[in-house]
Amino acid sequence: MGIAEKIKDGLKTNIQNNLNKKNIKKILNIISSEPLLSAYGATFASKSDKFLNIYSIKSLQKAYSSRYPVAYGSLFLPFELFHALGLAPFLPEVIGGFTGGLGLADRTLKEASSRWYTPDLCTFHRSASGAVEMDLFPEPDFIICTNIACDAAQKTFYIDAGKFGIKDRFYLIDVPYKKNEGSIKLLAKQLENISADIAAKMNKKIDMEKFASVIDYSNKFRDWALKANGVRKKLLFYPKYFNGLNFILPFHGLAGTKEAADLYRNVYLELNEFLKVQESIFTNTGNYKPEKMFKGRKIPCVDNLKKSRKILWMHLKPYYKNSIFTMLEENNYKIVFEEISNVYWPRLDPEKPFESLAVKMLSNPLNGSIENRVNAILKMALDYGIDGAVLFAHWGCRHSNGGARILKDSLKNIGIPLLILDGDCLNKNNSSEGQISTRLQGFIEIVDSRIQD
Amino acid sequence: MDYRIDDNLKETEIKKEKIGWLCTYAPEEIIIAAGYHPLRITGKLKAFKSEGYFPINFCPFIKASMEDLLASALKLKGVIFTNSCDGMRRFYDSCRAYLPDLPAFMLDVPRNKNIISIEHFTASLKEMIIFLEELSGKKICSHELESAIGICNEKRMLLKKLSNHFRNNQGSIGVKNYYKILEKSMTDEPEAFIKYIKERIKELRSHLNSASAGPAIMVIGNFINEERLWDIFDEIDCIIASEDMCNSSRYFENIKLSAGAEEVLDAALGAGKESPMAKLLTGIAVRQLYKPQCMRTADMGTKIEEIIKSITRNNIKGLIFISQKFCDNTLLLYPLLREKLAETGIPSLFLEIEHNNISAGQIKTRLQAFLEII
Ligand code: SF4
Ligand code: SF4
Repeated sequence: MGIAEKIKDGLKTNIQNNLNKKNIKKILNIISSEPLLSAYGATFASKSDKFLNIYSIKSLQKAYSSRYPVAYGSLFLPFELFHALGLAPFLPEVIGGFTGGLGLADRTLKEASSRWYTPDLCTFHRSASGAVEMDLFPEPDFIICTNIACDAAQKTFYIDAGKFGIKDRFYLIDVPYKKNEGSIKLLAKQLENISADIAAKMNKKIDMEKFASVIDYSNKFRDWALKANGVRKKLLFYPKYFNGLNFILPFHGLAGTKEAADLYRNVYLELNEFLKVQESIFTNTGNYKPEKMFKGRKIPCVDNLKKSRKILWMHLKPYYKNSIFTMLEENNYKIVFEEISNVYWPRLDPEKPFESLAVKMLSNPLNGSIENRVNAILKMALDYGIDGAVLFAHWGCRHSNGGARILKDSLKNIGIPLLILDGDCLNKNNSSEGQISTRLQGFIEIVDSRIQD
Repeated sequence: MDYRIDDNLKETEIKKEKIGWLCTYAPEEIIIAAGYHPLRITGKLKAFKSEGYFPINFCPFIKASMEDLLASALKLKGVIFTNSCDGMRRFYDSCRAYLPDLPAFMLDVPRNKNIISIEHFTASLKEMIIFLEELSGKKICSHELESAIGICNEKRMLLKKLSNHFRNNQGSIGVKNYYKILEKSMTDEPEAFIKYIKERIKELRSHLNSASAGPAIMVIGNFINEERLWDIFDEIDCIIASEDMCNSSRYFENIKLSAGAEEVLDAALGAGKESPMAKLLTGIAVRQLYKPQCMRTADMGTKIEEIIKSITRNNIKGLIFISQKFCDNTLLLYPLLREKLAETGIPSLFLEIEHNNISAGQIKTRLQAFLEII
């Protein structure tokens, strides 16, 4: 176990043994202090992982610090809005996901069950609701949610607003089903009205200059993310512990901040270095010294790289210890792209922040008909030259799982097999490790045999 | 023997071409104005083939409805879907993917209630008109829509009368019969149903002889259309003094707009320069969005207030909350509702059921046990 992992484990045990908001806040304050954070940062195996962890910790610390107005936000909101209004975003579903990794989900889910959240509901929301009931999350000043992607967010966020006595500060951004001129106008109006209302409640006016600068950062983040994704179209080996599925918090919650732009710049630079190494291995030029970057990891050979299988990962991943990714790695299967890393929106216009953010929301392939998601997936399949795809069918996610058959058939039409892996991202008791590995093994055999044919 | 309304409900012959619909937010008046018969898809068949299209944990009502569509027994000319929940969105997608010959339209219904939502919903209604016009090859004019609104409102008013009778004289109608009549109101041709229900109401007036026994209860749920379940209610001693379901009050309430909704309508109509058609559509949009709320709407607090008011008004002693399994919209109202009910001291019973697949014995035992404590 590396130092970073040891530190993480220590923090995990501390939180588990002393589970309350005060302790979480204390730990976040300690680890986010600059000297400690940079010392901690230095223990990471890769730059990407380091910046991801540092910025995530900082963002959480900000939300817990009681020094900024906090706003809960559901995942697919344009968080640029939060940053432009000076709100510290807190993403309950995502943090609900962290409860899986921190080994707390058993407790938060139990709490939710005792409050009549039935086990058939998505565990991201159940766990987040349990955590709210246990008073583990920072107290929000505002709660904002949207109907993308699922019904559950709107409901649990509303319940939270009631718990915190801020129903007059609860906003549901109702995204129209179709993307057209009319719906852009309607949505932009909603975003503007909500911003004005939030600003008024903070005794402020909307600061359009701040909006413009946030949009600017958002565009920078978008540009770097696109460049990083561009590299990934060729990349077959990655920094240690790199997993695009871990980037969900900054990809959404930090959009519009300097941190997101910096993070993705670093991800790009690092991945690009790896690409250069990969090219030097392929061309056998030896221009790059892979040893330094691999820190004791086995350096792949040309043959190995050539035999790599490329996988597209759809939806999310289990957040507790599991063998899926090790199994893929052992079989030389690379997740070359994830659905959640897709930059689906066009460049934003700083002069027209509300329209731009409306377009961003309406461009989300999870909004509207499944055709949007299918088209996005097919494009990813072609762009990344994948050999197969995995859809992690998280228990209780109706919007994603409800379209699994259509996704499977659509990929089949272009000759790509899709494995629908039933499980639960948070509740390990609701996933069968044995069944998952049998199905994964079967899938690997199918993909291998198709390629050999 | 006590009188009971006829329980031999015959299906009437439908002469017009049929357009299926699935949610009370879909305005039947527009379908009628387009010259079609609006037929509610009720998920008659047991899910079998449709299991292959959806995951295990998916709304059983949707699965049964997909089965209806796959079997083509309804002989529909088209279907109006509604963006009511995640499940419906995927149902629409699956219908388009696997039943490409069945024209399908997705009606977008907002979750908020304000001027922007009215504008949004009116725009969706306009698209629905275009869909139907393309299907029929004929334009819908405002007179046709106005007359269709008249028919639907008359039906709604009669259903409201029936529901008042049901509340006060449950024994004269019977629980199962009541819900069967409600189903009939959504599947029969409107004119034929109006004729039928007028006769039944006349009959009822001279037969108010069966006082029912038992505590007053309220039933809340989504689309709960289970004969075997309603049979149980006929067998046990309780009076359904208030109800709030997709296939009951939410279907026929709000013929007359409340003062608040009138104001919204005035504001939405603005300077009054709109065409007669636009005015009618805005009126429909306001009526639909300002009727008793469905659990899917943003403001669950108002929904709960509506429920609490009904509990007080009707002297309710206990609440029975029935949800289709895997329906997030409904299931996520319950934690909040239960908390509010605890404040008022009203006990509640939570029943999760699977459309077309209920375990009657178990439900009866639970209902009896619940009635004993209230
Ligand atoms: S996993 Fe699905 S149901 Fe759960 S929060 Fe995400 S989108 Fe919603
Ligand atoms: S019962 Fe619930 S999940 Fe099923 S169609 Fe109705 S709202 Fe959707």
